[in-house]
Amino acid sequence: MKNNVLKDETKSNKIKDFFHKIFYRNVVVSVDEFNKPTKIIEKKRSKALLFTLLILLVFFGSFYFVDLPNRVAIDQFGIIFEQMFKPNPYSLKTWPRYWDYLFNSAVPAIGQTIEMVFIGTLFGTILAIPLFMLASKNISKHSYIYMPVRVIMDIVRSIPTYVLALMSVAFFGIGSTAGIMAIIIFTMGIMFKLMFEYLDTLDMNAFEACLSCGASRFEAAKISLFPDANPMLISNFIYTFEINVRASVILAWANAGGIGSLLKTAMAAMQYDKVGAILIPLFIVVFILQLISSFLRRKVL
Amino acid sequence: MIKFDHVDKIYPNGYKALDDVSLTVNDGDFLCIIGLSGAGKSTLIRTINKMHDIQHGQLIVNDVDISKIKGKKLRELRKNIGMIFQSFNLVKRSSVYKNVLSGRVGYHNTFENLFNIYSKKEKMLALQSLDKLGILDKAFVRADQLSGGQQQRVALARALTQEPSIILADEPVASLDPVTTLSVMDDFKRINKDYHITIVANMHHVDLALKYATRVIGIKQGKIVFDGLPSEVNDDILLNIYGRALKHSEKLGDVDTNEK
Repeated sequence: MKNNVLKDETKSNKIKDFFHKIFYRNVVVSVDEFNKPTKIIEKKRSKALLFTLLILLVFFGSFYFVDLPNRVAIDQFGIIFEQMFKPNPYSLKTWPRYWDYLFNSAVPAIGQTIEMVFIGTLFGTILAIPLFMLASKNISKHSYIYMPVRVIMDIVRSIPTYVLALMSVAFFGIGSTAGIMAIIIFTMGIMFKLMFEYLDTLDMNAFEACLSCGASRFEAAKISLFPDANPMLISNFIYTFEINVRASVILAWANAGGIGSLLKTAMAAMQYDKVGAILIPLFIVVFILQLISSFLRRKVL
Repeated sequence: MIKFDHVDKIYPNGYKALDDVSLTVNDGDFLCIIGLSGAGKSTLIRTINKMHDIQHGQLIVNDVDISKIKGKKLRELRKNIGMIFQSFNLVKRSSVYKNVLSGRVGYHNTFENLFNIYSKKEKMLALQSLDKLGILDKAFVRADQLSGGQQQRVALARALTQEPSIILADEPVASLDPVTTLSVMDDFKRINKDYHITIVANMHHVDLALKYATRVIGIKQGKIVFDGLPSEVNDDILLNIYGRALKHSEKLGDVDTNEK
């Protein structure tokens, strides 16, 4: 009986040793004159190989779920591309009408879209401010305040932009009001996430000092955290604005206004010259916005 | 006046940081607390303005029992107590002037604080505090551009702007060099004498504590083991506080030992 117990113990020790050897390896600290190690410490093995294998497995495994195209029509793409940048005989017909469409239909529509996006981003950011303050561990302290806010905003953020647009069209009807609402909610989600995570990384020493002067937590946040958080808020605002301009094209497919509505009509009628006349200024505007955005963000940070 | 009456402080993890502390600090005292790291020096200081709550006993500050107060009354208490920190705790991106003015936060409602509404008298008070500490020329410089000693003076000016009756200093000179340490300690002494503000400071520098304090408290494992005049502190008492005798070089004061 006694013998049996002993056996079991050595067995379990062997198993333990086996797993220990998998996760740890010995590193020699010093050796004696016969090159025999005199002092050894253990080091956790690197898991890099394991993770590389795992990633490769997922990568090749995912081919199973993807339908590979049965033909690649590069010539077709060439034809459409060619049609986009010259007037078609069945739609705009002449170059003057092409330029007229570009400058008098596409450009003003882009201008309106940018206004719409700006309003949406601004309101979304303002509405996000109290939310990310509540969600910050540093400011609201108690988990029964910040956890519910985080969970609700996580749910809001998980809704795709297109679905947001569809939902706001259901509430506010067809048109750009619905588009603005979708942008507001979308912006709130992004700004909320970026800002509360930033607030949680901030140095809280000055906040503590403000509390010791007799400030409430809100007042202390205003005095000690806003100076740090303001440049980040402006930078994130510009970045979100830039994202929203690009994302606003999709709004039209939910009938929520924006530059996409011109694009949608033209594509449905296969008037690719109109599509081109919209895409040229859109590309230029987005490109310039990105330049301005990265310049301003460098300036404020 | 600060009066500890059988005060216990127990941290949520069960650690007893203050054990049956009874202590009276008179108005105008310059009190230095000495002891090992983790002995409860910081905890003792932070219970006075209720940055830490106490679990048992009674703590009376300026005739108010603070063991149960919260909300508005707590902020009312804190606005009369200035606090100085080891790492200065300034708003780094704000100007020195704004930092000092923020000492007035307790005197205003949330709306006024949100829009930085301060009276002309308060603005002058902030500048005068800076002047008293000799850093008026730095008033409109960003706080993070100052040296350590200057930043600690800004923190002192912020505390002065509160017009407090007590200033708590949590290792005020621990991150300063020996020379700056002395001049900052001189500032503390001056404030203590000229404006009759009670100062409670905890220090690692035994020599400094003995030089500047009017009264010394020795604390060991949350218990007060010495309470008396600096002149009464001898090697036996230090042995008791620190667990072993301190060599001359371990008193950390460095510069002032020659002056004695």
